[in-house]
Amino acid sequence: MKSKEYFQQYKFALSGNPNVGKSTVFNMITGLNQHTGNWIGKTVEITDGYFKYKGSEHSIVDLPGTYSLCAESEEEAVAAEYIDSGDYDCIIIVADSSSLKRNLQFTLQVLRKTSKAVLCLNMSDIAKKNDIRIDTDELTLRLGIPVVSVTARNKADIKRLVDLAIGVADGSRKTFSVNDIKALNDIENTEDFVKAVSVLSKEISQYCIEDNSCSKVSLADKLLTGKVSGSLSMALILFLLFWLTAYGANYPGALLSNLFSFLIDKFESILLSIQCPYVLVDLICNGMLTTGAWVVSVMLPPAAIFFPLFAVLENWGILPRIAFNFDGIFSGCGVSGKMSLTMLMGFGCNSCGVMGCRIISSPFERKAAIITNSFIPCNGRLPMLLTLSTVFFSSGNNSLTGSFIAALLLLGLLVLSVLITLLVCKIMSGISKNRSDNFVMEMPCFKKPDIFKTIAITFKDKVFAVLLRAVAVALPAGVVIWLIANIRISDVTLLRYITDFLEPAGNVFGVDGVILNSYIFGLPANEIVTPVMVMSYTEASSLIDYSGVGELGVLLRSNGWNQITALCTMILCLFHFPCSTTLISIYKETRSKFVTLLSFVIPLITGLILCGIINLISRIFF
Amino acid sequence: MGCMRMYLNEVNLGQSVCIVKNSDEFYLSKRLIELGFYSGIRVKPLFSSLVKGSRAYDVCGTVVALRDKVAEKIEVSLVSDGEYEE
Repeated sequence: MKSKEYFQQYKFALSGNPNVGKSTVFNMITGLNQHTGNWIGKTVEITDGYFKYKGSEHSIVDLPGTYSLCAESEEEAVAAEYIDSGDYDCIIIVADSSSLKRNLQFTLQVLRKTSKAVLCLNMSDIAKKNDIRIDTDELTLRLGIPVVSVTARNKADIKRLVDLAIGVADGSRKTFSVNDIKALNDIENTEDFVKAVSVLSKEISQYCIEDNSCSKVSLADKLLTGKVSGSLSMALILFLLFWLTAYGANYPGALLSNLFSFLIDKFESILLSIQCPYVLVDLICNGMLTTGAWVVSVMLPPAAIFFPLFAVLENWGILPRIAFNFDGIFSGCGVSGKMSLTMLMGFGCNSCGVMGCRIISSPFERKAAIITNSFIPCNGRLPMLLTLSTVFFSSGNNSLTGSFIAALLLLGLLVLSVLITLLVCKIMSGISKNRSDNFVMEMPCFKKPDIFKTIAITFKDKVFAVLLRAVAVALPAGVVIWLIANIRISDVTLLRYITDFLEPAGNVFGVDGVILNSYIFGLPANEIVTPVMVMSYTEASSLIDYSGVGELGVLLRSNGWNQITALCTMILCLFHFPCSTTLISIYKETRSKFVTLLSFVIPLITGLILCGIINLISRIFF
Repeated sequence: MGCMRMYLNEVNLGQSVCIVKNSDEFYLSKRLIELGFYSGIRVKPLFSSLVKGSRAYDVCGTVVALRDKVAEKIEVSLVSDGEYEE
């Protein structure tokens, strides 16, 4: 990141174990002057930023949180590569004061490579509360670098940290190499090295740390992991997450849709007033822009609610408890409990769910999680499931019984998607030779998240990024859809030729050619499946919205739909190929055409098999 | 004061033990050492997961979840008078 008028002076890097508050320290130093991207050639996220200090501007990088620099994983390799490069003026090692004994191992690994460092003992308020005393002067002597105790949210503490780091960078604060630490460089064997580091960190801890803490289970952990209270609290958290997303998105979605319609109409008038050919105006406004507007108005409101809520749960410390609680189910299928989190993320957006699989360290388990993530219906597919279950399974009215049945059906389908995910993982782990069942996960303590900063950063890094990617594919898709719906051969549109061609195949799976075609055209974004369907049935020349579930029900029934058609369509909605944005993410994460192909084929085959079975049973018995 | 040798998955919740020997598998052992599970360190099982199969342990001031399949590879010693030995 470059600034406009300040002189770029020193380069800093933050490193440390996961869950030590590194990101909080980073956010406090940089404010919102930060950007998240990928390390070159890798799928590891790096956040870089800048901050101003006494007339100068300095850059700072937030390295991935790792337990070691021994480069067994991509995160470790990136952190080790950066520290080896020497391309910095000071490394700020962030450690958790409450678990310094463990954090010292990573500190020593950094110090054997460089002494241009400062040790930041974060969460010092919690350490004090737990009666843990750290002799920072003794620690300074034994490590050879300045040591400072901070509470990350305290601005004065952060200023002291920055002062020290600048001091090391400009040479006014001296650091020195400690012989015991440098001697670690002579150990070549990794196993011996790891043991030597643990012995040295234990020795330093004995002189510098007085730990009178008494470990006990927090009330929150008792609530979240108790047999009865755990089930209830997990159910409540998940229910609130989905309900707030689905319910909260309705009104803003309608507002956005109306706003875009108004703007597109105005733009159309302007283009016509400057004598633009009508065909071109129709292509741009009713083809390209309408598709883009549809995707934004359906995708943005739920994404704007789901991702910040998810980030708050993550920063609070709730998500690791969810993974911990459900690990038993996942271990039975040969995968990790962390998959429960990537599946949850998939409910927001499958592309984000795929990228979220980076938290799974085992390569096989990560691939299984990536391949099966699209079994989980994202925000783009949930509205269609909700609508069809309401139209066809609640008698189309608002009675309590009707809506209860529709809700049960929807819940049943969601449970089915989870069960199928687990089944496919079990089959894959049965076939694959690369299996690991070594689930080891740190559970961070509960922390009150900075809600406003979390929401702001989530919007910047997730919501707008996902939206931009979706719009980038939706706009050209809109052009293609318009062309297919308007180019005529012998007075029949190309769209009609395609749907007629697909009709026999559709009938085998309990649907029709229009439904199959809509899913094919929904490859760029699942949000456009329903409007493409409506466009095809009404033989309109562009995407149109339906004005209510009642009207949609009439339209679908007049085109031969019944409950079996609706059920098969919903099954296909759950189990078909991922959208193009997700496929691109899968390829970027795995660098494997084979895995990307599997991710495309496995959900599709699953959906077609299930629809085929339902259709066959309905023909035999009904 | 006797020392009973056992494995971490056999330890009752709330009972402090001392690690004697880590797993023999290199990558698992390395990861466990990095998380604080090394010889001479005190560990205490805190709570179990909702679905059976994992437990959370207090080690070096942090809480780490381990599957029972991992905990059964870590040898610990339980000192009968409640203290730990290094």
